[in-house]
Amino acid sequence: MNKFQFSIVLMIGSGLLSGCSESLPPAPEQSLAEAKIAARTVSEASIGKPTVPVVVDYAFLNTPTVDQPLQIRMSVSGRDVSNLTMAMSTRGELALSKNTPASMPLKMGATTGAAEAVDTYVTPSAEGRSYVNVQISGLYENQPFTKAISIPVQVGAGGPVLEKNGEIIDTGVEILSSMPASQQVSKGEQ
Amino acid sequence: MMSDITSSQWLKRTAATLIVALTAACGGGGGGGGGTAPPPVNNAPNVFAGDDQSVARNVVVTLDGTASDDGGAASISYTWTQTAGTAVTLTGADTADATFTSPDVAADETLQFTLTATDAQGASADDTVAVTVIFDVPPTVAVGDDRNVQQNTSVDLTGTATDDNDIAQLTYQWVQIAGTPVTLDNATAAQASFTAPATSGVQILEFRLTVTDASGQTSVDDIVITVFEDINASTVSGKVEFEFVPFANNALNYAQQEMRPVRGATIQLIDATTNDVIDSTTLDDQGDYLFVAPASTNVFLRVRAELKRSGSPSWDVEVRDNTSSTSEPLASRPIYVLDGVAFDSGVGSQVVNLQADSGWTGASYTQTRAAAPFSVLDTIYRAMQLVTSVDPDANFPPLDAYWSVNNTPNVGGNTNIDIGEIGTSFYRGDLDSLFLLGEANSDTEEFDTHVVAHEWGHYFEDTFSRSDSTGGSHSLSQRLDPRLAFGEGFGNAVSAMIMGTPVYFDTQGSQQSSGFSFSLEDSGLNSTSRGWYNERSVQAVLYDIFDSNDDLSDSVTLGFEPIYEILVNEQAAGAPFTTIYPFIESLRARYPANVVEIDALLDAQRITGDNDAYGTNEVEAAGRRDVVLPIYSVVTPDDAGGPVNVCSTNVFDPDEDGNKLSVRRFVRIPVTTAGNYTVNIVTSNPPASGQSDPDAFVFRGDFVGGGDSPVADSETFQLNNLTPGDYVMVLYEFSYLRGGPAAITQPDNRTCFDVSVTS
Repeated sequence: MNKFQFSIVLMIGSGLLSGCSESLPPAPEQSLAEAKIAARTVSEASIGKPTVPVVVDYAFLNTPTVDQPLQIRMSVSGRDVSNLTMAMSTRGELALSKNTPASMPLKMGATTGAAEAVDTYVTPSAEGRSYVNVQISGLYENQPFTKAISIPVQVGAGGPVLEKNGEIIDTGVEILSSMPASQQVSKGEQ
Repeated sequence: MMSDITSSQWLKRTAATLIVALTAACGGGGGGGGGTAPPPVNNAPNVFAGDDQSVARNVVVTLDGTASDDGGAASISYTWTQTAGTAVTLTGADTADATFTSPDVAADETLQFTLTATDAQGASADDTVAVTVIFDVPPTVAVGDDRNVQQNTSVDLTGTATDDNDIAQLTYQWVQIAGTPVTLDNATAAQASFTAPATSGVQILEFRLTVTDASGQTSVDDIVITVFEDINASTVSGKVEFEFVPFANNALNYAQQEMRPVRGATIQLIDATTNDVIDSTTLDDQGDYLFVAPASTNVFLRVRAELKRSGSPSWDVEVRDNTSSTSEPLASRPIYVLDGVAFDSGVGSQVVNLQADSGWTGASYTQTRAAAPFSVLDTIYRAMQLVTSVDPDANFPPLDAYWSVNNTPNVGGNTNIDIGEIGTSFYRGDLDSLFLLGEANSDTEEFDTHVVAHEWGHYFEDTFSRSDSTGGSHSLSQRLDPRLAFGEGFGNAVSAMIMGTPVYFDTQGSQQSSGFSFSLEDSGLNSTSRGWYNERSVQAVLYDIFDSNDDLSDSVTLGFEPIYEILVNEQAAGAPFTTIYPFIESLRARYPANVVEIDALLDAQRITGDNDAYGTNEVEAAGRRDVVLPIYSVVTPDDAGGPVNVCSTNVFDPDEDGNKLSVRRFVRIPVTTAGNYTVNIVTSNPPASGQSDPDAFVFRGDFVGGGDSPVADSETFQLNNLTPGDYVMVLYEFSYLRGGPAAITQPDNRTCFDVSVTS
């Protein structure tokens, strides 16, 4: 096994995962030294699933604030894709503008592979971390596809409201996520 | 035998014999006399239809006829006809011995048959036989209810039988049909016995009694004897299943949810009062389990989302929630368990079946998604079965799979596992872990079995073989770093091998109702990006080697074994990077009889089969030979010929992922003399503005050394204690990578370096 034993924090190691960028609030700057380390990685790199070559870049045009509409400008680019549409929803303390269509076509540039920028508005209702879920659909190599991404929206301090998938039980030896079973009991032979 | 025939039958048979004897005597005297001989007298054959019989219902009956004639037996023709009784079908009705199956009569009934024998002159005679079909009811037999017994005690097996005839003529036969063999005493009597074997916990034995009556009719009955270590205990048994949502039409089909067994997972019997684990076992391949429980105790069942096995093969897989208890180290975060409700174990046997529900209630997930961890677990179980099918003693290194309903495909470049911002599903070799998306209505993987299997393939490649993959974003139509192309192509191919279907799918979006899919049988022969640097090309080659479906360029079927053997041996041990070339070289060497078929697969993907592990003979250059070939530039230490020029390019990597073709170029360094060496890299075409920043690292399977200083236009580093043999180096222009300095603008999008190695 080839172990290129450099210490890499997860945040850095995942730098190759996405071609997207976040302009406001700024992503933690990766120092040149950190970038050097990230570039070294071989087997420690995150090895992800196949995807469609669609990239979503976005920018917040104002600072996310409670009860203030946040303008998000998204630009989508892709290769070997066509007939793109975009749909959005939210998770957490965010509301989409009432004018947001259920699905909207993306106008692609003739040669650049990039679509015209799309502005959307969401309004945070509380501090914390919420998400705009974006669903890009279209044709990739003439086959239908959907690619889902989520855009984190950080408002003030605080993290996201995390859902549980079971009751957390600390046995003193280990921690369990206890999920209820459907159960059938019948009496067998005496 | 005389004793078998009646007096009338004896008289009939004796008379026929006498007539034959007299006839023969008369004819025999004519041969020696003189004068005009009288014309020979033709006598009709003598015929005997056999003895009357009594037979049971539904048995094959033979009508045993005989005949003789003065013209010899060969001249006789036979005809059997039925003259009375329920019609039957005669077989061999034109022979002396006909057969039929006795009818299923409701009462005794006599059938009659006539045998007509005809000689060559047409003289005939007949005889009649009666066959009485006896209405005889098979015996009835009962061996009683299944029983629980104490170990090391004598156990009686008692059968009772009835019959419509004399029960004294019934015969009995006891046999054991399941469980640890025991010695049966009086096995041919109505009551047999044996000694219950010593047992730990519980043991199941099964016996069968067969009773046969005088006419051969038989009946059987079975009994299960459960042998307890402690007879006062009870048994709790049952099945554990999970709801699985299948894929159809590019979406998850919730209308067709199906139950699948939870296989190989740990199940515990727990005292509901103290929460102590009473016993633990492993679910079998049908999801079944059996516990011996203390009687009349309040207990519940817990199924852990884990696969544990020691010995050979061995494995250790756990499915955990990465977004709960985040103050704990990752490996200590909550493991998913499926808990039943408490019940009284009572006395005797309890059957308790558990089901992990998907949580889908018509239009969304509104309940706990209990099936999800077990669906992930089952795909991993299938994956390990593929390996053990060719290596039954495989030992799998520990693997954790992290799945959470909060795991989201966030963009922005940040990963925060604690809050589920994992970006995509992926494998991390340094953590021996899979991270799987779980956010409903966005992207969740638990039923996207090929995605889970794909990521498991990365785990396999990393732990059983060797992966030099760069990782990072990749697509079927892109030209990739060939190490990434091999790793991803293998991941896609092995996912189809594991799941038994070539259709890879990844559902996404609202209600998981759309997504992304492709078939491994689509070799992408119309794709302009196929080649040794393309994951679809790699997956097409690997899958076609494996599968039995011949199509297009595929006429070879080698199964998983060669893929496994090469990956765990040659591919893992060699100096060359883990591209497709070491695999090809080994496959062709191992299967010389299949080289033509293998090369046909490779040729269809524009990959040169007649090659070494470095791809030295490759000619496919993606239209940029200047930055693509040779795949490895050879830099011989102290070469009098001077430095070798190698170019890095970002032409295939517009998003600065750093993992596309020819961003990172390969150099082979053949060392013939042990010692310390210096690697010198100098930019041969410094940019007009900005600066070049070459970086390089050297490997021989493992990392050896390298340099990534920020020095402009050059890089120098030492390699100490090298031993003879090949080393390989990866060399790149750092500014072409995201996070590096601003990308420099170069003619033809390439930055080139003079590379030398000196002692």
